Amino acid sequence: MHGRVKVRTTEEKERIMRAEKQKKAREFKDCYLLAMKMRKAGELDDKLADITKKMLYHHPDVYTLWNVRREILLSDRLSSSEELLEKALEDELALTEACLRENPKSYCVWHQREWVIERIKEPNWKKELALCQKCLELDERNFHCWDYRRFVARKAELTPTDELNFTTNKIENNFSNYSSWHYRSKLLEQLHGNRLGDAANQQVYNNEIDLVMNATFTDPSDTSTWFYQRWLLNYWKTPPQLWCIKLHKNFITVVFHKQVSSSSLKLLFKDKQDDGCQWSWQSANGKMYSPIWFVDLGDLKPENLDNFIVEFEGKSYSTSDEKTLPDSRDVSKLEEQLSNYKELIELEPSNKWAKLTVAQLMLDLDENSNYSSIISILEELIQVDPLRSNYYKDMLSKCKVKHKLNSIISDPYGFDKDTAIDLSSLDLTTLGGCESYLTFCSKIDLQCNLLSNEVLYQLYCLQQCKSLNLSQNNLTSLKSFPILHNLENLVLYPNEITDLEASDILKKHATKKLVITGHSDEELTKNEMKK
Amino acid sequence: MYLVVSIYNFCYFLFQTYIMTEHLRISGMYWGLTALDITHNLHKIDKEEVLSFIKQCQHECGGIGASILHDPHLLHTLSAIQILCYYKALDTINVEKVVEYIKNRQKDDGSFEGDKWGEIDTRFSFCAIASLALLNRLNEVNIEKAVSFIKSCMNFDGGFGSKPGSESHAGLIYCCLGTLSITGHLHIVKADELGWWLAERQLPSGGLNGRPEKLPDVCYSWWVLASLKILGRLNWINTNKMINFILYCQDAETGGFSDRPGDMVDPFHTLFGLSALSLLGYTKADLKTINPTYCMPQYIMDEMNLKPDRLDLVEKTDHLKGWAGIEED
Repeated sequence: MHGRVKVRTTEEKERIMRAEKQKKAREFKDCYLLAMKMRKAGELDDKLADITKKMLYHHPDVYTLWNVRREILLSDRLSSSEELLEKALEDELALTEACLRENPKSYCVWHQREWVIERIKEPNWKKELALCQKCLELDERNFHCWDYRRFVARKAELTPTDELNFTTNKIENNFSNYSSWHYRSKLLEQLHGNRLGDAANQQVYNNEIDLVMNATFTDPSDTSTWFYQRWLLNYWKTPPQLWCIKLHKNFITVVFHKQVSSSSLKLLFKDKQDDGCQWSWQSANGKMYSPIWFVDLGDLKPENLDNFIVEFEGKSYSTSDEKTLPDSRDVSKLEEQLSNYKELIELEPSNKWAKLTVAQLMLDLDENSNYSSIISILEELIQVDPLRSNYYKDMLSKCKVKHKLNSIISDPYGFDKDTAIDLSSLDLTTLGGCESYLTFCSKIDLQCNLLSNEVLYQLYCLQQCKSLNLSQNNLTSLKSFPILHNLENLVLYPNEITDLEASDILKKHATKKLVITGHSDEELTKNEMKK
Repeated sequence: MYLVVSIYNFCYFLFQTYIMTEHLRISGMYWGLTALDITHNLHKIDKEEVLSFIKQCQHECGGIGASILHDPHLLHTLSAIQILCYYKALDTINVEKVVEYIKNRQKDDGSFEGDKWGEIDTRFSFCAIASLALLNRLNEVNIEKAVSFIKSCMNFDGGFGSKPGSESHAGLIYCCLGTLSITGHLHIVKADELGWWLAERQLPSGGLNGRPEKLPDVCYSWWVLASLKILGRLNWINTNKMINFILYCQDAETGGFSDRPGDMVDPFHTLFGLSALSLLGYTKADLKTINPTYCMPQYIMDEMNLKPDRLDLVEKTDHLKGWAGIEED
């Protein structure tokens, strides 16, 4: 009952209306039964076409009736005469058009039109484009019609450039047209693949950036353009993939900056001729995608790290690699954007989109030197846009963790596993995907943060951690606390955790020498709960 | 209590001459019965009547139609299977044939057609994959291709549309995430971008819309919230305002829910309002926990040992024992 207002009526009125409705429903049912009877008897004639037509005009979503009409169109009677068939198909187009006028969002009708036009010998695609044009004038967000237009454009062999011009017109008419921006992104991908950010496409890219800037400055409160802008700006980021490779005992561990699948992950030994596919990679989280993958080499353990190469997505990595060179792309466009949007913040101090854009640009340009500005903008956003305060808080947490871990992230081979990582008192609500950087740390302090039960799963990465401090967080349950095989000292209190739950954790870690501390009654924690 | 009356009346109608909605009857039954189950009232419906009706809706080809004398379609096939799971009565229908029907709907590019007439939509991918998972027969179709089709529907905003090139829409995002959740491929999603887009669906009224610049609607509470839950980012919207909006959409007279405050109620919005409240952990009503992927009560999932993935789930760390020992020497 989308958008139907509930209206109060008198009892009398209601009774009359109900009786009328019932009468119509009975008539409909009689027609439906007759149609099904004729269909079963193979009477796919004009009479059946007529009955179904009348019913569908008012009830276009009764999908079975469209199926009956398709059967009529495919029947021997019509397929034996080209003339009759063409006429019937044209009639069907007229019926769907009439139905669409009544109900422009009916899935069944749009599909019927597509099905029919594909069977017409020489379809008039111009007419179809005109129909779309008209329909989009009435409702420029009707996604059925946009889909149909894309179908027609493909059939009529319109070029992506033609269509791009079409969206430019639409956007210039009205910036607030998300459907047009969406189509534009698709067309640009068709034209340039996913290399829109490449130097070769610099001009195209800059034009888009300018178009968006024009739109955001014209109406800064319209949401559509800001999503498009985020997409464009993301092209600047070419994040490195692999973070580090470690060899220890008989395991080789590879940690990535993001979650990847092992399908294009290979291990090659320099002194052996093989394709590197015989190793079976295991993911730390037990899933098909993971930031951490390892291989058990068994007896084949190499003497040193120089003996092997890890290949990922066709690119080779070894521990002796030089660090990734900084991006050599021209950042002047990005810097120009930053100063423009800083200006927009001055003009519109309460506009959250401009603020978020500035924070995002600063993150992309130089996360570290812009750190304090980014933090203060995100803190402002929590105030300006309270509906999404948790989104900004998670973003803040991620920035803070990354900042703290900066030396580890930039030089994974330089850090000592015994370094204590201090992430305390940062108001963290999440580790934000940075937990994999803690894979090889043995001592982690997370006390005095805002971590809740929902993010405990992130700790699964801490398999080397011996000492973990979680005191003074927002924990009330440990149900999703993972087993950490090396954990010896866990500081849990104060938190709203019952002794029972804490003892469950001890049980789960049965084989280990785990001690839970921080409880006011330390002895109870150490001794009683171990039983 | 009102609520129960409303759903009950609706379910009563299911078996009466409720003609004008007959083309979506089995789906309607799924909405009503799920709502009854999560409000602890499933027992009020005559199980045998439901089962015998569903049996009559299965066709020779194996597919299930919306009602008797209505053609088979994946939409209704899924609804029927979901209902049969509630009654632990999958043997009511011919399982081999329904598997065959679903299998035949997969196209070369991995997509699924809704029925033999060829309409392609990511809704049908979800229907097919969820149905087969409930029947424990996922291996019958090409999962890799099904996933790659979903991937081809991904958009600039991280969302998904109904087919390649189509605009993102919360309902279709739910279907695509559901498919990826069941098949264990959630990480192809750009979770931060999509999570942000979904969080931006919340409007000052607290309600959620399904696309930018659109009106709020209770059914999007479900599509958006279930998606955020699957992404492990349910906290990115304001829970209290959301709950209040849903409660405003409840009709004091009948107990049912409408799309927006003051509109006509229906079982579709009633189910999605209730499910959203359950997902948000609303404790003032006694609601059973709902599973975000299947929109079915969690206890049914547990009984069937089905564990659709979420980005915030790490089930096992046992296999890490040997690897974790690397620092022991």
